Amino acid sequence: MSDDIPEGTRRAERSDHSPLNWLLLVPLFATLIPLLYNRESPKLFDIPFFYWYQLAAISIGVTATLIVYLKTRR
Amino acid sequence: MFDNVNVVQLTVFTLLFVAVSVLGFLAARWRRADDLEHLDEWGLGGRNFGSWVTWFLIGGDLYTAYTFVAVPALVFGAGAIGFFAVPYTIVVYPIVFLVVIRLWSVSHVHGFVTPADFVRARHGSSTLALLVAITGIVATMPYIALQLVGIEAVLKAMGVTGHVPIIVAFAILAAYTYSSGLRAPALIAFVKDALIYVVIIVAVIVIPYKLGGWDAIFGAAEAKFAASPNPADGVLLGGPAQLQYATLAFGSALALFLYPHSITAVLASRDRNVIKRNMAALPAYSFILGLLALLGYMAIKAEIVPIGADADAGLPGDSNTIVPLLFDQMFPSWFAGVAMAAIGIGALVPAAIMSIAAANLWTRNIYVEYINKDATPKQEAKSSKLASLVVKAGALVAIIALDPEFSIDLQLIGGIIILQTLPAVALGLYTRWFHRWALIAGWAAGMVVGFWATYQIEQRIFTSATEFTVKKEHFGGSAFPLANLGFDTDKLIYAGFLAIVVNLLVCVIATFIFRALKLAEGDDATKTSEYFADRDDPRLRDLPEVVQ
Repeated sequence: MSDDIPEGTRRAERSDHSPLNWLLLVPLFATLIPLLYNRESPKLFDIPFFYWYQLAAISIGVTATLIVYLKTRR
Repeated sequence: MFDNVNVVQLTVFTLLFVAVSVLGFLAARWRRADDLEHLDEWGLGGRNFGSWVTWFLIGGDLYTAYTFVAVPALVFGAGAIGFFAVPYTIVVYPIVFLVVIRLWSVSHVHGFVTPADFVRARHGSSTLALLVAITGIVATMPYIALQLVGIEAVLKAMGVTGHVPIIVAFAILAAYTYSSGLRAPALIAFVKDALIYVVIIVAVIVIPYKLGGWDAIFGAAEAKFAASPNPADGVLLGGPAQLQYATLAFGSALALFLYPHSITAVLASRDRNVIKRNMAALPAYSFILGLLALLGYMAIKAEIVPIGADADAGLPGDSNTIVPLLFDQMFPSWFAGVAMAAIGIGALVPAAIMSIAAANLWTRNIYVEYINKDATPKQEAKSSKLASLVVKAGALVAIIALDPEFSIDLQLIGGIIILQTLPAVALGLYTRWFHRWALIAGWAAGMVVGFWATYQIEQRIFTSATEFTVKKEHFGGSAFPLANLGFDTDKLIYAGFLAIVVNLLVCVIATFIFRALKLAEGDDATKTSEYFADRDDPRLRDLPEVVQ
């Protein structure tokens, strides 16, 4: 496999590894389990929970990707 | 052709349409390259788009006109299940965040233009690359055709019928895509998205106000679904639909960045940070899409009747027309015209990018691979430009000559088949553990399962909670009953999800078998460090020949 081939020394030590990458899983858990939010109440501005929760969950996705981006840019 | 036309609407629509067409032609001069006769220039806009351009471009590319009419139409007809578009477009960015930057890096170094280019170099298999290319083209073609359905819905709502306006619109689109390449949709995307944002924000403020508030809107939706005999619809998900909702969102998210047009837009960006930044910023569009989905309920409250609907004859009509009709009813004519234009122009951007992506696949992975092995960059660009015309003509014929239903079925399957390239493309970015022939076997198995599953799905029209007539025997949707596999359950699952699970299983098992049989492995033309390369790193084509 290519991973065994020794790399040129100059740029060999790069990687995308970061413990923060695990944050990217948070939005999946927050939105892919309908059991968590398939409910009418509590309502917000008369909008059922099912709808406003998922719209609000967009910010969970944004926060996760934003943190990973800011902490891993180079 | 022009009976009962709303003149003000049509005038505003036409003016905006002409304006973006001019923009499309001028785009050839924008960020002008020394030489547009290279696929990097025509097909990838110079591989140099910054954060803003990329945001508008990918946003304009992924959130298509068809999405904008079909998602609210689904909510209008079935309720909560249509809202899957929101979790889908939430999870897609965290899922692909780390994957697309690897793809960008290795493509930057090697000058890959298509996903199949990568597959060929990575797995050393031209057969696998050809399969990926054909899958991409087949999945993209009906998607382009559906953009025409989006334009048609808008024209119908304005009272314009017949095919001539669509042919004219597509001919103009084809002409400026031919001359400007990816720069045209990139520039037009600014206008398209600005219009969409204004229209949707105005719509979610003004329309609920006019309809008596959200309580009245959701009340009307609940009343509609309570009265409907279909047990699957409702403002909340029914029991069997929860798994379907989650797998549909997840499966669609996995598929989205495998589409050639998504990859084209990613590869057009300047560096890794541009992509990362966009993964965090693109969900702004998801928010707009979520608000748009709610227009489906507003249409219920506003008692919109889809064009062609006839309750006595049991005809549901063209539900894609409900959003344009809602705009027509709720807004003054001039603003309704702006809203119609937003959707109409919204069709042009993805249609252009999709045709470019399909054309690049044709050129790089079929034309250069099998027809003209020594093609010069100029010949490559020429081939792509011509292919983009053919692709658009094909989409036009598909809508005009065939039943548009055919394109809708194909697009449904398109999402499922493009997902079958996941092991070769997305997993291939991480590992070469899979044997190249195992990837081919997995692809084939996924295709068979995907077709088999969707073939079995009926479209039913319920006459009471338990009785129904079958409207379509096959390809009636993507919700596959697990009971068909012998499970004792009423749960539904996204057919594409089932297909990719089988695909992966076959990939793993076949890899063990082929290794045991000592079947020849392919060579890997890529190096690990290349998956982390950034803008300043050397590209192979900048290096002298001997180094390659």
